[in-house]
Amino acid sequence: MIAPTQRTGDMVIAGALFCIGLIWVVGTVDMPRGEFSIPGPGFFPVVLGLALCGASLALGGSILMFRAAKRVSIGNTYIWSTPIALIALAILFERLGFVPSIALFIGFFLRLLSDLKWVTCVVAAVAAAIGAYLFFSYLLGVSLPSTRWL
Amino acid sequence: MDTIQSLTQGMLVALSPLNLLYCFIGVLWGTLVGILPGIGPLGGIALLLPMTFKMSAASAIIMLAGIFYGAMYGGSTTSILLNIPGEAASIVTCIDGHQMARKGRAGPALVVAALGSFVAGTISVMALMLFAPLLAKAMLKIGPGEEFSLILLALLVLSFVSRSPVLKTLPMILLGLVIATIGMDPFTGYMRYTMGYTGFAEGLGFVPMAIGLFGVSEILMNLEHITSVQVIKPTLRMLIPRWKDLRDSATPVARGTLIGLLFGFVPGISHVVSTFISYAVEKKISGHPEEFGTGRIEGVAGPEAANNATTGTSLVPLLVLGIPAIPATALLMTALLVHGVNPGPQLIQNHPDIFWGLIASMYVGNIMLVILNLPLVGLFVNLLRIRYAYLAPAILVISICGVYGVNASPVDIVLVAAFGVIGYLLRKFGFDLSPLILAVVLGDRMELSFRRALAISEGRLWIFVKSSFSQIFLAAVVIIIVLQATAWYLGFRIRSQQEAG
Repeated sequence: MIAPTQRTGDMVIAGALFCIGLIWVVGTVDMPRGEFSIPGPGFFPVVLGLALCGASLALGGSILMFRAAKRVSIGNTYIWSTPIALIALAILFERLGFVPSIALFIGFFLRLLSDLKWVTCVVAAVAAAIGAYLFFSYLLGVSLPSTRWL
Repeated sequence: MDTIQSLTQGMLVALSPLNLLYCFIGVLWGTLVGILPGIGPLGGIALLLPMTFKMSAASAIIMLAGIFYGAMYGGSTTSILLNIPGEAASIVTCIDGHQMARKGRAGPALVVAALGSFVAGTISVMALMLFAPLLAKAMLKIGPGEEFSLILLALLVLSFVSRSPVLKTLPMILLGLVIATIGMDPFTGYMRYTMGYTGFAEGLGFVPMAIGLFGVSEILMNLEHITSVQVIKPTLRMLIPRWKDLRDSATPVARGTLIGLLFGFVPGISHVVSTFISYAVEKKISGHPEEFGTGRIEGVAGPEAANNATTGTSLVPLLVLGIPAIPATALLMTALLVHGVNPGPQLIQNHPDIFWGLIASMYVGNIMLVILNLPLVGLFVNLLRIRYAYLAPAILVISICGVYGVNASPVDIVLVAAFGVIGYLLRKFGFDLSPLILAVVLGDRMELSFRRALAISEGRLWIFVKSSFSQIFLAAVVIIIVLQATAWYLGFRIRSQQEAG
């Protein structure tokens, strides 16, 4: 767990927003800007990019004027594991199919968050994945990647 | 007379067996997502969105709107029994509702919350029924210039009522507008910021963005402290309120309803703000303000009525102007667009079955909710006994199915993860996410109306100020900017003095 001050966090976010604004402005270099009467596809993004840069500078400036305030604790193992598990799931989802990939996903979380034994986690994860597939695919008609059996 | 005839037609749509079933599924699912922390109305709607693709547009909107107002009912149950707000609008109900439960008066608190919600919800639907057609007639006259001014006004109001300071809200709005430019240019078909990936031609998906920013970030917040909760389980006998409870709640419900109706029109966080204002009003006019926070029934009745009264009126900007007032209604707009229905002034004229069917279904749905929420409260509360270690992966799997179902693309799951982390970090540092997501929805139309207006006027800016509509909208924009600048300057001075002191 990390615990930056509120001011540091705000500054990092303001910096990130400034970078996004800058990327948006630079990204319009190749886009036709059009004329004022008929603005092209690059017109609105350049205006918005500049406005975002300005707004993030104003935010950064206002933060710098005051002393660092309270500390904000961010993240722990559970929190950072969640997006990583989601990205891993995105990679495996269509390659393995719904049931195996979701079983792995649920099993990982059960092992991480609960005190269940390995065997219980595996059985519960597989059962939950099959149940979810049957519910979403057959009952709700959601199109999900299938395997040879399910 | 027209209204009664139209409502009768709407009743025929809403009371068809299939639509009754969809309405029931909607309000039941809404109650569940209102109870479970981490999903909320937005996540709840997103999860069932793919299921609606095969339905008619009227059935889809009836079910999804049921989730929206059903979640408002569900949120109060956990606030009262567990001191955990199921969704943001129920935070205030925790204060006195949970104190009542601790004193063994959970039953009256639940009954008053349910009855207050029912009364306010029904009056709110009446307001929607009466105001929407009138406003729609007036709005038929607006062109792209007025539309641009209106969207600008909506975004500025959003920055004004947001929970975070204006200097934090403004970049969120601009970030939303910037994200909205990703994809195919609506005028020329030019691809912007897609990095050559054709999946982004329609822009970044709204559903993965909303699920990530609100659903996943909420799960990440909850994962900071995994605790088990003590559930107070009321019996049916406990649910019978005293006559005094009902009498004491009547006027707070009326006041809360009025506050909710007025705030429903305001874009942003109307349902949250209205509950806080209702609580403050009740406390202010009470003969015993010192007893608030110790279990006063007025502290439950007023805010719960206010919360539910916003649901009907918050649909007015969506259905009449095509401008969603809160993130959950933005998802309803997405559902309508998926079915080829454009929300806006012509919706009532072109799709009366959808508009009047929705209104009629809201009357029916409110009755269903009262029946569901009182006798089955014990059953719903049992859900909260499930440990978060089991609930978190379950919510994530449901979210993934909902997101994947829209485009059948695993890239959307990556977007969910990315926006989940972004949402978590922004929330930790006090940035409000509602302006961001609403700006994403409105960005396209803002650009389109701006460019259309300039094309029509051949580049003359007078088009943005020539009509009386535009003048009103722009005058409001100027007033808001002046008010905001003054508020910021005063806040800045106070903070500087504090730092110096």
